[in-house]
Amino acid sequence: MSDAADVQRVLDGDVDAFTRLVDRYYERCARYAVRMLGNRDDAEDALQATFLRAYRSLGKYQERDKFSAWLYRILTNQCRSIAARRNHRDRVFIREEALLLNAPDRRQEWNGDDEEFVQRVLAELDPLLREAFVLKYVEELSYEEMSELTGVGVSALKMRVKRACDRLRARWEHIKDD
Amino acid sequence: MRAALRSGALALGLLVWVAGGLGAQDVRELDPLSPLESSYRRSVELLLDSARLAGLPTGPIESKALEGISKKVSGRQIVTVVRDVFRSLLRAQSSLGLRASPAELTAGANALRVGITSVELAHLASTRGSKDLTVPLVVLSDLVTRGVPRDPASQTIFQLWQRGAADDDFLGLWRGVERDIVSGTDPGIALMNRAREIPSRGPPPTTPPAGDRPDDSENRNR
Amino acid sequence: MTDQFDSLDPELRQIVAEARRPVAMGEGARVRLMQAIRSAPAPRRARLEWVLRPRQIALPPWATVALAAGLVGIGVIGGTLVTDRDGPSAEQPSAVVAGTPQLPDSLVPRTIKFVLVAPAAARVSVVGDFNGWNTSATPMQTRGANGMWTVYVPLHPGLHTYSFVVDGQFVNDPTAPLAPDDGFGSRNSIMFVKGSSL
Repeated sequence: MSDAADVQRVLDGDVDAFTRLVDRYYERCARYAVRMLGNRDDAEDALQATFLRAYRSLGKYQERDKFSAWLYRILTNQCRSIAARRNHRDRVFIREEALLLNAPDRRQEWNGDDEEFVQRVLAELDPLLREAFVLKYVEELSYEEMSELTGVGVSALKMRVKRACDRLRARWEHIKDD
Repeated sequence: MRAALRSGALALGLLVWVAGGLGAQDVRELDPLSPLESSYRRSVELLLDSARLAGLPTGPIESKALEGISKKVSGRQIVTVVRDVFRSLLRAQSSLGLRASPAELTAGANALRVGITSVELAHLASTRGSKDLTVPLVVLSDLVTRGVPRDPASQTIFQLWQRGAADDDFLGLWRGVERDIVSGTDPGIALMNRAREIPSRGPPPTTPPAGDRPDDSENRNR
Repeated sequence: MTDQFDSLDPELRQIVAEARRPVAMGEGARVRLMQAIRSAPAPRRARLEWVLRPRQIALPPWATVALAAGLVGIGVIGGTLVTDRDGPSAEQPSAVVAGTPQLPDSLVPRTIKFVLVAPAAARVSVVGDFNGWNTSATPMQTRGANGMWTVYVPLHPGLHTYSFVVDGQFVNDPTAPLAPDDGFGSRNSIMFVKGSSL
């Protein structure tokens, strides 16, 4: 069942066809939203707004677009809006307290398996750098795809990815020195 | 069936759009708290986070903030009121239990704010079985708000509850009392009269021993 | 400098590998999403959009009948606590409850009719937790000289707090229970919408 076929079914009145689209993309979108926003509550808000907007705007979806790209355009915009309007540091701090309750034990050193650590270092990146880094390495998009998605030029995106890597590298060094 | 679904969906779409409901709401969905000054807004968002962590419904809390914005109340007052809502929900949860529905918690919080005690709430909850407490609590809060003295109101509702009264019984009681109050009857007397009209639907209640009866010494500070 | 994953430093590779791991959102998130989807108006192909642009119109009588006939597949009951003061509503659609196969009945929204008699009013709307207390989101319509203002709103089962706004003033529903004084100096009205299983 292709994405385009399911879109047509939804426009014909079959809401369950949209359920299939959600099934196909929810987890991937959830991962992106959590990496970008740093906590599951904001991510759920972004996912809710994204899929609702996609549902309402399905009539505008053109088949020549890849459905996933069209959906991700909505998702990246929603994540930007939510990140912009909330005081990010406060909210990540509160969620980290919750995460600490679940952590097996507190370790000073990162052993490479700690989701909380990754969320923290990503959260410290400037949102535009974080977005570029996540799209490039987590979503594994090409620069052309990223450019189509964000409306930003390829060379600017490459610069952002490089700066994100530099910052993360420096952060890692700092941890190792602690 | 598909044609019926389509025309039904179209009809609903028409009437919702005509009502201007979901269309206008879409814009505010993205940033409903934006009119709040940032420090007050942060306080509200922290309260929402705390509510989530405690497993409380965030709807009533956010709704109260939006209501304050709509009524052009000061940011500081909004935070005070929202904090009260959060606290009442927390107290309602500790009395009604973690299985209470969001509606029960909201109704319970309302009841606490008109002076019903946590002990009284817990007592109701302990005898509920699988029945929903929302309607009796809504009716109780309303009656007290309209001037029925608190103790007779809560005792009457308890007794009806224990005698197996259903939601329709409570609603009928409420309508009758409200009508009588509007016609000039003393609220306490109106309640007494109308309560008598409701038949018992269950076995006679087992009265708890005197020491277990809800008492008024519960601290009602909010 | 190449940007491929394999050419990244080992530390960055570790960060990326961890970031690529799937994230569990919890079951509630999906349910809440599908609940919202099912209560949203169905999308239509672009050429039909003009039909669905919001317009301020009063419903002519034939449309009300068509609506009543057309509300199949959507659970409809008059709200438990909303009644016309002046008698039964002739326009109450029959309670056909088809529900939806995948959602529990307690999540299917109900269409509730709000009614206020306000003959001298120029503008009436309803505000509440279902529209973010937005005073322009849900205007009501009046037909004829009897001063009755109405609107239909889909509400999820549960407790809802609301008020009417009559020419800029917040006015509670005389036919509904009151919420306690909210600290804003006014009292709101309460509506409890039942799921069909309740």
